[in-house]
Amino acid sequence: MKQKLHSIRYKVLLFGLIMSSIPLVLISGYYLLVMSSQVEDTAAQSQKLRVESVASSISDHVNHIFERMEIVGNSVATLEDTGVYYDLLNQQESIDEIVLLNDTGDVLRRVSRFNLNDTNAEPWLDDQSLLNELKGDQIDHIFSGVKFNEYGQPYVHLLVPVSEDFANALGVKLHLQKLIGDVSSHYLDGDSVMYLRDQDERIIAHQDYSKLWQIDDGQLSSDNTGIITTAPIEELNWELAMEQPRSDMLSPVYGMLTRGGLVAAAMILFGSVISIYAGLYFVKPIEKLQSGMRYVKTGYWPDEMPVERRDEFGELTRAFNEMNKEIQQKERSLEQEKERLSIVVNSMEAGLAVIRKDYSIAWMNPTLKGWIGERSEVPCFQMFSDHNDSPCYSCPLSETTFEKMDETLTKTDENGEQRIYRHRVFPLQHTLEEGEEALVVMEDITEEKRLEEKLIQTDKLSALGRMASSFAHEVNNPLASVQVYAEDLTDRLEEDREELLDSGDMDHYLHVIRKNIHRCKEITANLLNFSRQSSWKITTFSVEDVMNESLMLMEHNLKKHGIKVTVKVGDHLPPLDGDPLKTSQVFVNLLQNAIDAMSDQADPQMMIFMEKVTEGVAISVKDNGSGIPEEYIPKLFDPFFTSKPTGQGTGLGLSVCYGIVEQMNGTLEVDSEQGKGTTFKVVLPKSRSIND
Amino acid sequence: MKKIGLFLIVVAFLLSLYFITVIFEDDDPMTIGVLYSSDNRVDKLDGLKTGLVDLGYDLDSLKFTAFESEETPEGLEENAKRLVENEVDVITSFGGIETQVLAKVMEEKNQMIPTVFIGMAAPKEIGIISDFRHPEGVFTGLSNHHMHLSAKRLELFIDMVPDVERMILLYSEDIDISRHSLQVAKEAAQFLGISVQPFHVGESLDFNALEDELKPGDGIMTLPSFRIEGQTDQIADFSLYQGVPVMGMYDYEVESGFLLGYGSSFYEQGVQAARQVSLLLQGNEPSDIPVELPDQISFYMNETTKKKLDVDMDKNMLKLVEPLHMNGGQGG
Repeated sequence: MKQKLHSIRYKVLLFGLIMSSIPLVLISGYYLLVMSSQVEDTAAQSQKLRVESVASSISDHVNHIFERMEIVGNSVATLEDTGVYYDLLNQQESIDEIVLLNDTGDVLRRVSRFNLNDTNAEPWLDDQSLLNELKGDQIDHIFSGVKFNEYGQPYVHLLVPVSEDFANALGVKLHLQKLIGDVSSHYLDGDSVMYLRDQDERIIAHQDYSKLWQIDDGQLSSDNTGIITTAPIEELNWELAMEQPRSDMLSPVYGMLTRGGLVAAAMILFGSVISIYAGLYFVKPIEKLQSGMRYVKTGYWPDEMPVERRDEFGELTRAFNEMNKEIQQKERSLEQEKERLSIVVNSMEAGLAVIRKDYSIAWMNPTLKGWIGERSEVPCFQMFSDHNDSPCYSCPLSETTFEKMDETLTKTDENGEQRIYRHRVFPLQHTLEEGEEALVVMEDITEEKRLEEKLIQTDKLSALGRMASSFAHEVNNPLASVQVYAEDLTDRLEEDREELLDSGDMDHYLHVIRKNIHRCKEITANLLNFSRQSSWKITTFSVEDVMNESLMLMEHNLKKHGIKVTVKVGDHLPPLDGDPLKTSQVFVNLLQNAIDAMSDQADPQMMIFMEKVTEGVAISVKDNGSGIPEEYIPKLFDPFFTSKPTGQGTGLGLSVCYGIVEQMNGTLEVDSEQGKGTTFKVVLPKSRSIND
Repeated sequence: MKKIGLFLIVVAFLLSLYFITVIFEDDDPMTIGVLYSSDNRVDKLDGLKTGLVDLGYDLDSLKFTAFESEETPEGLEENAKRLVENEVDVITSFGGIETQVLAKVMEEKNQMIPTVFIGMAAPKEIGIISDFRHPEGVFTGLSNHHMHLSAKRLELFIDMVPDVERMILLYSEDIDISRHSLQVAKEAAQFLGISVQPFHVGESLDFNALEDELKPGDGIMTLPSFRIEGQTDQIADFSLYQGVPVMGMYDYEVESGFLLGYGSSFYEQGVQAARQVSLLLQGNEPSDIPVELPDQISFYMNETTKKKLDVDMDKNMLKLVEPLHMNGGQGG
């Protein structure tokens, strides 16, 4: 359920509902607040005006009657004339009766609207004090409290003095039925009430007739939270009041609120349906896509989804279909690639292992397992030797900057044969597990090395073959001298033995013979040394010495071709680490190539530079021979590639040189310009024992 | 999907429209039932409507259901039943006979609806109410006071026309109020020192008998009776033909040819009764609303009849008079 609530469908529906309802609610709330205040003020003002208007109407009415009575009362001469009374009765409908009273309250004249004009009827005033008060205080008029006639109709007595001496008084019986009725039945909204209080705080008119004639002790209010407005009716010492409960006052607002609320509800209903429709309209394609994605996630490829719309969703569906198709294709390709890779990895002769940062083995291929067994728990540096307690010297995992490593190491197999392995470590950028850092590639290069040795030897034998005649000449010359001196010595021994001994020529002959024999020995020793088949033997050696030995080997050849050799040696050449014999082989090959290149040169010149560089020593062999065609240069170090005439070269020389230099972690470069000459530059690293 | 969506939107729109229509529909109007027995009393309905408007009512918010009957008790009762069955909020009955029939019908049906009688001569004496101030029951209203006014009318008549020596009092023996009014008039005549001669009016007035009864110096005064009211025009014609002054109660009687009339007009009664109808509509109980007497009692005189009869009139009394003209509404 919680997940459902988080779904986009519910969010869209919720959003729709909120957007349908909140603006309406906020607007309604705002108008309610504003309208409440305004309506309250308006209602209060309206109520005040209403009460004052009604009170004023009553006051005017009573005041007018008093005025009329005073006018009549002041016309003493006409009091005997009943026409005056009838006239007053005609003009004032609320007067029921008019009487002329003497100072004791006896009725002198009576004109009644309902009853017979009987002056002898019961006393008109039931309270003589009213008359006494009028006379005693000599006031303009006086009125009684509210009384009731035999029909229950309320009335009051009004009295005015007839003459200045207050001898008589004119009285009227003013019925209050119409006044009370008008006040009580005044149409008011809701629970609002208007009521009239007499001078004794008695309710003499009220909307609610059940409250009539009760004393207003403040308990009669229907709602104390409302507004109570009063207006005095001074002529009778009455007070008109109107109470309007707050609920009534705000009833227009409540009505508006109720209606507004219902309209808002209807609008929300309408808006909600639209929102639901819109939500479903928008969410449906998303859900379809989501369903499709779930299928994809579970590994099932859904059919192509129908594109039903022309909008962005249609575009999205189309894109999904295309993506789906593309992913399927890529997955198939990936499967194929994986299969191929698996075949390659499992069938390749190299051993592969993925190594973690802590040198533990995360994975290895069957080849490596075949070499080391199921020893995946050992650190990588113990894969080939249990005696290694620490990572390899140049292991990149130990370094801050991770660069690939390429070294060789040896391992004695179960047959006691020493095997050579190329040990390379490549950093991994994208790994399956956390902490996987590097790929270790172990290649059994024992056979390769052997082959390489054979090639080197072959190349060496080739060089020896080519140098054989030179060697013969080189050896032949001292041997010829030895023969001449030996024959001459023999002759002189036979002719004059004593003189030969005494003159010291004997010593001279023997010295020359020994010198030439030594020369021969030296030549043959060099030759033997060069031709010796040896495995790699790393020692520290002087490059200058090796070059001199190489030059000596090639001396005859150089002389034979009339090549002028210039050797320039820089100062403080550092010793190098490596195999001096192999290095000599490189130099011999380079010298031989230079000799071959200058075979047609009239003034062949060879320059040899040895200088100190940052890495170690740079040895350049420069000739002014025919140069190398540009198209040959990329293939120059390929095995068996040669541009020499058949019989002159095996095509192994430069290839072997390249292999030897590379094995010594050096570089071999060529710079040639056809017709002008070629320079081979070998840079060999200095010995690790040398500190910069 | 699209069709369902459009269908839902249309349904929602129609529902919203319906709700809004219902919301803004006016509340049901309050219904006032009207029962009257002759068309001359329709002035009361006009007065009632005017009175309600004066009190602040909007007539559109009120619904009047009126039933007019022939002056037969059977027709009146039938209409009273229909009115009671109509479930109105308030009933107004436009006279004593209507009120009496209505009370009977409501009693029979045991269905009490607040009722305002408009212009009943003696509601207490008839038994419709128990007391003017506290009527009890479901009736309140306006008493036209005609029974008690019979005395005053007699006094006003002889004061206005001093030459009258004897009064013939037209009454209906079979009508309670008429009979009571006769008694009041007789007592007044004794106080005033004038002789009176009662004359019974049945289904129709026997003018020959009345003519036989008539003497010089006689005046005629009608007493409350719907039978007599129904023969107003004939009485007026008789008055003019015989040259005898007639004292009635209503303005329309004077307009018909009666010389004098003293009472409350139907229209004014209607205006006044609007107050009580209003009080009932506002939720008061009828028993709490006192029965009222007329706010306005007018003394009508037909100028035309006066001239035709050529009678002397007291000038002081003329101050009270509201002159009317024959068949022409109120005069100036």
